[in-house]
Amino acid sequence: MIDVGVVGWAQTQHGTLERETHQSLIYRVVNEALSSCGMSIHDIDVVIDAGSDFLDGRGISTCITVDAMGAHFKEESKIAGDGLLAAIYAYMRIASGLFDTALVVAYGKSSESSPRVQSLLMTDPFYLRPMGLDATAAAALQARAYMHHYGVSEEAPARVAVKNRAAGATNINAQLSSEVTLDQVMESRPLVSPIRELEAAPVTDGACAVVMAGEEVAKSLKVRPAWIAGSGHAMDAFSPGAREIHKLRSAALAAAAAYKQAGVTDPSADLDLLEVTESFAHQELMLYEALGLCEEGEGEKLLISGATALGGRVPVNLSGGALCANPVVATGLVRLAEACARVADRGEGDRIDGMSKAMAHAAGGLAMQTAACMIVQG
Amino acid sequence: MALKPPELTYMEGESRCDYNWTTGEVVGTFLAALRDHGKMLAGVCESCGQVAVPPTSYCESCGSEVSDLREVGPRGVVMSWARVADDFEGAPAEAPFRYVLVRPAGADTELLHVAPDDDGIRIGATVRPEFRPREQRGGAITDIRWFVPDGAESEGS
Ligand SMILES: [Zn+2]
Repeated sequence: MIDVGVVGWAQTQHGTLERETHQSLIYRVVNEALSSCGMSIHDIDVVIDAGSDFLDGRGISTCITVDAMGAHFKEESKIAGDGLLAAIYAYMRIASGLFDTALVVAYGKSSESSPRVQSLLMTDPFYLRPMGLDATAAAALQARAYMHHYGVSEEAPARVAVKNRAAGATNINAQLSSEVTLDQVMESRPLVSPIRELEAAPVTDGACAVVMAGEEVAKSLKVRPAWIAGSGHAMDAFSPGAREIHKLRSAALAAAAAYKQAGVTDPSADLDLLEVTESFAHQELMLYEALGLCEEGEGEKLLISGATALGGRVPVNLSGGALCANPVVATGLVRLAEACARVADRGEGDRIDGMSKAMAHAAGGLAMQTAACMIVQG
Repeated sequence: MALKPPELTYMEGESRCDYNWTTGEVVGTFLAALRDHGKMLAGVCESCGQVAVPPTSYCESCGSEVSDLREVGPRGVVMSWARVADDFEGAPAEAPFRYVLVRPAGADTELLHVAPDDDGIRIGATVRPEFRPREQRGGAITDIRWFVPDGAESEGS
């Protein structure tokens, strides 16, 4: 298997981007990612992109956006899921030796339609859709089941929001860049209880692109890559009622695969940073457990210990995470770009001294049915 | 870009497409039993034995074919709930209401449905389905109007 490096990455400013089309977002982020590693679109063998036809309101929407991503006259495939899955796909294409370079693009403009209806369209037409179950309601059922099962306090998810909003305040690309207090979170409007407004990710437009190359090309570039050490992806059952909804079985399986490949035996000691997709605050606590940072049911304790904050033993979401910007479909690829920026020694300001190994996590589906993980090292 | 900022930023539109979704045997039998008999049928996995309601054609636990349907409930236990405070278009009940995951007696999985915004709806509480009158049923999950507290607490919440 060929060693693969993430050699370039870029993300857009996230927010309600009224002047940006899908194409303009893609075009800019692709060019920035390519120039970050001194490559041009002509150096790219294959383009793997992630988008949502329903979000875009167009069928097989890459047929339309192919011009902006520079994929015409190249091999191109689309993932109907988070961009981190596209990254895993691109990684395997290069690792196989069949391709030398790949461009991964993910984009979403959630502000153009109704996020509630969008998530409702993910449900099956017989059992869930007639009930109007959207992503927030499904996450609320998950949150209550999780908190009840393990005796998690009502403030615990709010504390995740406080931590991540504080981190996001230093992230120039974040949509929400102000700190919030515990009281502000606890007093924010209930969406679907127990989830409050400040415990849910915002509606975000944004895009992200990364460039990958096999060892030979990666070493010929002037910039240091973040090397891919492992990846994993897993699905849980579709029906929330057919899962153990108080656990994230798919995240645990995805992480186990990535850890095995990367030789990670004790995640909280072996990883210097995690960037995870916590579309709802309680999910970060569940992820601490599923990703093996602590024992089952100990997520709140880990959070309160400060281990997952900046300067802690195993910081999680130094970017502010999805709670500060959630460009659906691109959110997980943003996590990868953030992880790469922290560990790759490129003489840029984003790297944190002493950090060499980081993991990015993406989630998809209702109440995190799916999970993807990728480990990178500087 | 050299163009000056446009005076037009958005164009309104909609994507609309109507469907006739094929139910398949398992889902169709389940929905017809709600409509015609006011009963909840669960799928029984011939391989791992999981009793799943609502049933799917293939077991969501082990992937085997589901070939047998069996009545479960009507009473069930609330495994989780979430409160909706505000009305929205297409809501299954008038707000405030609660979403519930209910595990009917005899089943291994939970059915997603709604319940009144009643303090009796909590994890571990026993609930029972309230069906719509026969003439209002259409062969849909909403033929059950909602689950209401049964008045009795279950063991081991
Ligand atoms: Zn089975």
